[in-house]
Amino acid sequence: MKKSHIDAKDAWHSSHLWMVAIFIMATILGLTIATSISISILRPLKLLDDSAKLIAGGNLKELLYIQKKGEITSLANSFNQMILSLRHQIRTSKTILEAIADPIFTVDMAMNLTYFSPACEKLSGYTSKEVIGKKCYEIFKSDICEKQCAVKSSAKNGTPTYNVEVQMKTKDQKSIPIMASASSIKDEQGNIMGGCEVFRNISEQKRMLRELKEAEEQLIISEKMAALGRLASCVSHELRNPLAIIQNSAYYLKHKFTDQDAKLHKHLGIIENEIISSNKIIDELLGFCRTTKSELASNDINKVIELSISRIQLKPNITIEKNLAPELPPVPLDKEQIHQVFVNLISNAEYSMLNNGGKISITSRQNKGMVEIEIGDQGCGIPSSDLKKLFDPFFTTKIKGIGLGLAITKSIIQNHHANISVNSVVGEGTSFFISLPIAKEYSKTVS
Amino acid sequence: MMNGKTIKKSGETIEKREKLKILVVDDQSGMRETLSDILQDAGYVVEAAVDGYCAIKKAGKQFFDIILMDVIMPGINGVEAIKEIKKLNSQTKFILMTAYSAETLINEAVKLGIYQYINKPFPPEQIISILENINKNKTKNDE
Ligand SMILES: Nc1ncnc2c1ncn2[C@@H]1O[C@H](COP(=O)(O)OP(=O)(O)OP(=O)(O)O)[C@@H](O)[C@H]1O
Ligand SMILES: [Mg+2]
Repeated sequence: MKKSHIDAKDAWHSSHLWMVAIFIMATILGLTIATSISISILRPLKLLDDSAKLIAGGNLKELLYIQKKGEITSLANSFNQMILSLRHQIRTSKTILEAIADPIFTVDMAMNLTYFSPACEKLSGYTSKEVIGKKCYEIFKSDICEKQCAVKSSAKNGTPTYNVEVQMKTKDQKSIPIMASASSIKDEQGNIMGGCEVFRNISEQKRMLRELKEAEEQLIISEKMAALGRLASCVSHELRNPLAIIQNSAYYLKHKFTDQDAKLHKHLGIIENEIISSNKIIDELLGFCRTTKSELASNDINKVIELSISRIQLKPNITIEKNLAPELPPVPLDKEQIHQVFVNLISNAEYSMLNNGGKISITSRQNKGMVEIEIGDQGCGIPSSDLKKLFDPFFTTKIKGIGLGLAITKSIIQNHHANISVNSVVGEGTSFFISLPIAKEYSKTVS
Repeated sequence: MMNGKTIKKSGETIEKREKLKILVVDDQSGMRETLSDILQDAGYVVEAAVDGYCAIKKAGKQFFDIILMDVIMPGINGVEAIKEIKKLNSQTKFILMTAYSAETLINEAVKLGIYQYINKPFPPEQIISILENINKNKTKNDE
């Protein structure tokens, strides 16, 4: 019995020891398993978690690297796959954005620039670095930024705005016309996050449109001139017959009334004088019609200038100063017509100084492939509102003017493939500039 | 004496010579009327025609020393009329009057042989002096 008691006690003791041993073992095993779990699962999970945070923050630079094979590794691989695909997607959208030739920028709700495409950089002169985070209106300073900003309104009500014509400022404060379209940027839930604007430099189109308009106006003017020319020619010729008849009648009466009725003779004289001035008007009109054709021959322009000066009788309070460049290359010109041009310009200059007198300066010079003539006066000048109409037929400010002088001049100048321009300051004077192309055989050696 | 007769005769011829016969051809009545009156007053014998056909007809019936011819007229133009009249009589002198710049026609007429051309409107003195010149030359040649 006692033995059995001892046995029982021993047995308990030994079983207790076992339990301790097992417990220790279990603990060790547990620890080992825990460590190994921590190494093989928790650490990679932590890495994954870090990586996910980085991706969320927009960083796609780092890929995950997990040595051991297993479930986690395959998860990490999927993760890497995702990073690569994200990288690819982002690269693709960026490439597309940057490949778009028209400038694009985006802003957040506070109008701070968030993206500024290379085309935007190129057009504006700013670098992306300089402007990101700044207010778009402080950068572009367009004429409608304050009142009706396209991006702002698109960002506000979510509807796109198309083709708004705006003037924007480049970095060097040059104003350029642009055509802009704007739209809002929304997140997945449809909340508006900001706006995006695409625009295009339309300077070239504007210039072309302007030129087209000018050409059209020019065409209309030359058509008008041609029609006017035909009409003028017709009317002038038809008027010559009745004028000739009136002249004959006046002549007859003058010779018939031999008694010395002074008044009667005075009136017959008036009729004759008025016939003479009517004829002058007709001559001028016909001169205007005849300018459609020019017979060009190489000539020394200085000689034509001298000839015109010699033929004009100026009022005593007007002087002429010549500054003629010696040995100018010959210019193809119609001598009579260019003479007419000088007469027109010189008599206009004289008229402008009629009250106070003054100097008409006539200058000739060579400039590249052209011979330039400048006729300047110190007269009343031309108000800028008149400058546009100056060369229009029948534009005149003179009581007895017809307003054909400059129209004829322009028409002749055009026939010579030449140019005429004017510079005038009211109260100081006016200068007309004519530039004629040099004769071909000379222009080669000259220019 | 015979002398008296001769004198009278030569007097008659001089008288006849001085009174040159002129035909005014113009479609405008005002021109015909005024020129006729002026030239008659200046001592010429003047007839008028309204167009080229009428002028040819008249020139066929009688001799005119001078024909004042307008260029542009309805029907045939002045130059065509001159051509026809020249066929009838080579002695007639032509003065062409024109209000238009009808250069080709004028050139043609100059080639045909005309005495002069003048642009309308012209001072009547100009026509008178041209006629006087013709008259002088004619008197000289006849003597
Ligand atoms: N040198 C000048 N200085 C000031 N005004 C000028 C000058 N040249 C031209 N102008 C202005 O331009 C107008 C048009 O000139 P233009 O020679 O065509 O006609 P006009 O002199 O009035 O009449 P005309 O047919 O007799 O020449 C003038 O009436 C005048 O107002
Ligand atoms: Mg003038």
